[in-house]
Amino acid sequence: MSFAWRAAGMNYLQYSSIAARALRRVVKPELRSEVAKREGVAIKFAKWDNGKASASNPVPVIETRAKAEN
Amino acid sequence: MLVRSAIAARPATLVFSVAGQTRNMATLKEIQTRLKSVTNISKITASMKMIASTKTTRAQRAMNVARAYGQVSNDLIKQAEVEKAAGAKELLITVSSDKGLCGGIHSSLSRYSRKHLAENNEVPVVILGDKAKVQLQRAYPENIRYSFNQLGSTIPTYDESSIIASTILNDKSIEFDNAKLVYNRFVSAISFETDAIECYPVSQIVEAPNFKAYEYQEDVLENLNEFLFANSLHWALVEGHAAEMAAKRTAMENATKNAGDMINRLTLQYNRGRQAVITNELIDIITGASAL
Repeated sequence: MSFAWRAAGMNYLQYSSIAARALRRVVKPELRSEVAKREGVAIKFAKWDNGKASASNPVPVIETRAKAEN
Repeated sequence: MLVRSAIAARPATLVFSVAGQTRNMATLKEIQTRLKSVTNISKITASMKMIASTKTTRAQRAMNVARAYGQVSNDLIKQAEVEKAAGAKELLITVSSDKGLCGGIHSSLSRYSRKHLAENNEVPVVILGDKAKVQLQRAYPENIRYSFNQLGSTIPTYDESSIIASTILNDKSIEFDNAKLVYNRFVSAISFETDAIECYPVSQIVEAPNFKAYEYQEDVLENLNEFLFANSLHWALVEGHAAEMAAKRTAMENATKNAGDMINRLTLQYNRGRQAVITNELIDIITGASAL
């Protein structure tokens, strides 16, 4: 039983965070504000090679079609 | 005789007291400046302490929730009695943050990491937070593989921990079996302790004595293990954040107390100096008057 998303190159964490994001988007407007606090990642990372850091980039977040349509 | 001695004494005391007056005046101005700056600093540290204490209560609440996440990982590992295999490849993850003025938080983390790296030279390192990065890149720059920053200003969300874990897992160039998360455990509002959480790969879980009795599906176990890794990382991040807020509160409280002591000492010095100037002027007037 091989999962489709695993075959597409995602790991379980990316898959579950996309699912969580979809769930957050369908929360009713009254409860939207407290749910929105849990989203949004401002972390930057730098890959190091031989003791030297590359430039900082924001962490890769998989964007879904819903976001693109908005 | 009194007059003669007074006349003889006058020039010396006059010269002395003028020089003393100028010296005292300069010192008085210096002390005043110092007093003003120390008072400002104590106001700043007092407000930082207030902010840190509100952040501590909030961070502690989040920490109790995140502990539940972490205990999930822990329980499976403990119940199955998973053991680290000999010769397993390790990855060291140092969980610190970007902000300073929190006492010994970051130096304790980097000391633990450096001690571990001194015993195992080849272990790759991932650093979360700029403060530990600065200290570790001086000692072991070749071991560092990733550094994350913009951490520590807010309570870490599971989204953040999950993205960090996923970035590490997706990079196939870092080969590791076990991950060691070095973080600060929140012992109490005034103390913390640097500790490590161990994360195991699927191969070692499968070999665990209590796990062998059951059939399992390799795919599902892989999913579970990634989830457990993110759980442990989230636990380390949130508990480290709570420990840091508590340490910041303690550090600011100490700073405010020290500044208060300094203000008292300087005020006494200032008053003594002021009184000395007045006394000298009085002496001048009296000797001058008595000489006439």
